[in-house]
Amino acid sequence: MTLLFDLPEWVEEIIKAKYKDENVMFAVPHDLNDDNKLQDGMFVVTEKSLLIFADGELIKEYKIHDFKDYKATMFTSSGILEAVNTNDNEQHMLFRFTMEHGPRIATIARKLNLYIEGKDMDFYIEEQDPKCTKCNKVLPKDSSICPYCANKLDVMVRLFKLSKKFVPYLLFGMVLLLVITGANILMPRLYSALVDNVYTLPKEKRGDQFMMTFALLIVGYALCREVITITTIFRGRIISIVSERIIHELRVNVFEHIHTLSLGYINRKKTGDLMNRVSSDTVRIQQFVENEMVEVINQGLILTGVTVFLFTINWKMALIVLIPAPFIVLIFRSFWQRIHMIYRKLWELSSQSNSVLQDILSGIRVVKSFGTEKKEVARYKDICAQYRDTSIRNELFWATFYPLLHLLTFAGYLVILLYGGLEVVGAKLTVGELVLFLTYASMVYDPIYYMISLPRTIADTVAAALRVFDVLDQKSDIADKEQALEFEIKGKVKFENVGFGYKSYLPVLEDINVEVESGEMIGLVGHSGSGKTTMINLLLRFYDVDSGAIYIDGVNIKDISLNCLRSQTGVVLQETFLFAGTIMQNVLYSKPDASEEDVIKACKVANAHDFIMKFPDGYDTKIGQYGQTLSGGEKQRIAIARAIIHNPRILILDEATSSLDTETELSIQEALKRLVKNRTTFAIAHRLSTLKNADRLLVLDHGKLVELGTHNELIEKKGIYYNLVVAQLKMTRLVGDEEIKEEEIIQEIV
Amino acid sequence: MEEDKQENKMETIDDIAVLRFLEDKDIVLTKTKGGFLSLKIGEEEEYKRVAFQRAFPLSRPNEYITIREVNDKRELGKEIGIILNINDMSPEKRKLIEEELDLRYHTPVVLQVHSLKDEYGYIYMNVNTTAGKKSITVPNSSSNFIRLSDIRVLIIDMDGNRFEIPDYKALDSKSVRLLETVI
Repeated sequence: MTLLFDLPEWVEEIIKAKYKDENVMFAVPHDLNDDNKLQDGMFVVTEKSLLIFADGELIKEYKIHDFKDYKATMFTSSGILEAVNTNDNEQHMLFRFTMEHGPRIATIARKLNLYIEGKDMDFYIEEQDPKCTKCNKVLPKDSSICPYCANKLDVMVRLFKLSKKFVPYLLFGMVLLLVITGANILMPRLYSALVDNVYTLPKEKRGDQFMMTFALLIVGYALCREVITITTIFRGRIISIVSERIIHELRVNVFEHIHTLSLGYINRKKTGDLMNRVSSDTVRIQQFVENEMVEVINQGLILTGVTVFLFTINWKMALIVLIPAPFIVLIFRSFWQRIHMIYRKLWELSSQSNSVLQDILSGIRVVKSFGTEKKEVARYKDICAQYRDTSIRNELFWATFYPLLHLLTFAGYLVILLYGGLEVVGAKLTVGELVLFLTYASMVYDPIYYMISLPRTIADTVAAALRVFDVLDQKSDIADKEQALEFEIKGKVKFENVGFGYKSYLPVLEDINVEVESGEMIGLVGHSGSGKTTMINLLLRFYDVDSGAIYIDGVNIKDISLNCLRSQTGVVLQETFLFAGTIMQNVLYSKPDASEEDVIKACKVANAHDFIMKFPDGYDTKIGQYGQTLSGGEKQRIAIARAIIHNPRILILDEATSSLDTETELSIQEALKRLVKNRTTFAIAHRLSTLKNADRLLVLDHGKLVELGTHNELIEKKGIYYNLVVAQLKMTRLVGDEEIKEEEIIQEIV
Repeated sequence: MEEDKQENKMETIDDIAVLRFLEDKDIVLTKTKGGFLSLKIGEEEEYKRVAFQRAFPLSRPNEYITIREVNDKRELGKEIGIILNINDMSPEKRKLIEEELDLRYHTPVVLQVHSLKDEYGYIYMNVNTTAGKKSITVPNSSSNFIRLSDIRVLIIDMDGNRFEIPDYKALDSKSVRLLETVI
């Protein structure tokens, strides 16, 4: 994210005149004035001042230290930067901006708060500007390369390099293609020679060689066709093998690379988007390598070859043939946008009608219970009618467009027939030459049609290639250091001044300090969104901290190898994800070399053994999409077995039992109780009774550690934890406003 | 008997939920030094900073305006009351409320579309709006070009900025032609 834009000249002049001793720290555009009008503005932060420029002048200036608690507040469609005056504690609106500047200004607000506290404000910013800073056009989703500003030739060269191994094959394929093109151009010449030298040759002119010529021409003609057929088969086979290999390699490369990337990068993309890059974008590239790269040359050769031939035969007629060409290009170009739009619209409408259909059908119980069938039918009818109308418009367009376009080319053809006929009658042209001409004329238009659509094809390929390169070029932001440590973890964990935000301008955790002894169980408590899961994510190093550090056994986790860290931690999440496969394979997931005995032991500890034995196939039972259906509790217990089979030193339970019914939860709790003993454990649970075994409870509120201590200590404190316990007790006892005594609360959980 | 009936009477949602409507005479609004609004109701109730929100921003922008407290953390706090219609307010208060609403619901009206281009799934438009000229980039999908009625269109650009066209058919013919390719 750019926070220091180039200053416009007029801004620079004012700063030089008034604030020449202060370095500029941040400078970003902003664009909205107090009267709701757009303006051309800059927001500049120097070491001491906040300067707001608009339309050629400095309109507001503040001293940074006159305010505290800077905050960018987003409304519908616009936002404000606000802060609290340090003198009178009054909240002030500093200036307004539209949404496109929001993330940058919010980031600056966060940095300003660190700055006035004298803290390091150089936190790590992962987000990208959504638009290219050069041309202001949107970058492809989360890509840093702008398809408009990227040099298309560079991309093409890189694509070619990607298939470097296969270049000899591709070149060979191209040579074969040249042979085919040559033969294709030669055939009409032979045919024309046949007409002139054999079919239309008056008897008296035939010489001794007549039959010989006839035979040779026929053989030549047939040979050409044979060469074309054989070469086409041969070339097709080579190219298919090569291109399938290219795509296979590319696809595996991309997929392999995705796995090295941090969760931060992957989470920022939708699964579908990543899937597209692996599957369809690579196919687009394959098609280009397979067809387009060669086809461009081929069509270009045909076009120039045929044009040259046309001109050598009769330049006047050649001109006539080419007259419709510019018109065709023009017409296609002017309709291109429209054609494209209609297709998009159709696609959009069809997906809309599908989603309406899905909406109604999956909610059919609601529809029937409210008796609104007619209304829903009308809704579907309406969207279908829209689709129908757009589709009709589209078909009508094509039904008219194509015949007219053909008429245009035919007009050229007709003129040749007329003019050429006259030339033949006037004996300036032979019949064979006329036939040759007509054949070549019909060959000229295909390459022209092809060339018209070429820019689009190249653009699409470049876009696909950029998306793929974007993944390939992404350096993992979380990687092992060169001399990453590997050691046996004992389980002492320390968070020191830890701060973090998924979006850099939105801190999720701030200044977390806690030391956890080896073997201690810590319960993480707090409202949803208070940062509990984030703490876990940081401990597992799915993300790196923005500020501060996390230590395990006194070693910064950034210095520990990822394999060492993760192979010694066990995680059970609320959303249990089991892979398609047998129960055995799933339990073995974290320790593939474990013995059958280990698997059974782990499942016994997780209270899973008994239900597994009830399945006819026992541990070989297939689960997943086409296998045995498991209940939530069963899945959860297999997940626990998977998490503990490698005897992790650190155990993480993130809402591991919250989606289960009380009875199942109890049986799992029982299993966990033994596991947790003497093992460093971090457990998150909404149901506080789940945390009754915890040695200490850590209460988070809005990303800050607010309470830390044993159950009893926190109850005495009567803070957030106390309130949470009381609220839950009221719920579970189904009592209303009845007073709950303190002793009861303490007893309830102890 | 009478009493029994009273007790057995089914409570309607009117009995259970009570809306607090505030009228012109109930409230005193003052602009703060920092540019926000403070509110006083009677002698007892006073709020340092309040926010006004539309309950039906698209269908009834001037009615059912709820007033919420903005707390010290500068988050929206509890609801203080509802103004049924801002047209019933005195001109001074109405002006203050409208300014506050403009801040929260900045939605320029599109007056003219100069150009419209579709590239890589985004629509690049140059438009003239009540807030001034602007180049906007809109993802080409129906969730970004929302038809509120046959003629009323809401455009949400890629950053989340909103633009409204109350009656697109009333625009000049070029604008209509360009817009019709996307809506």
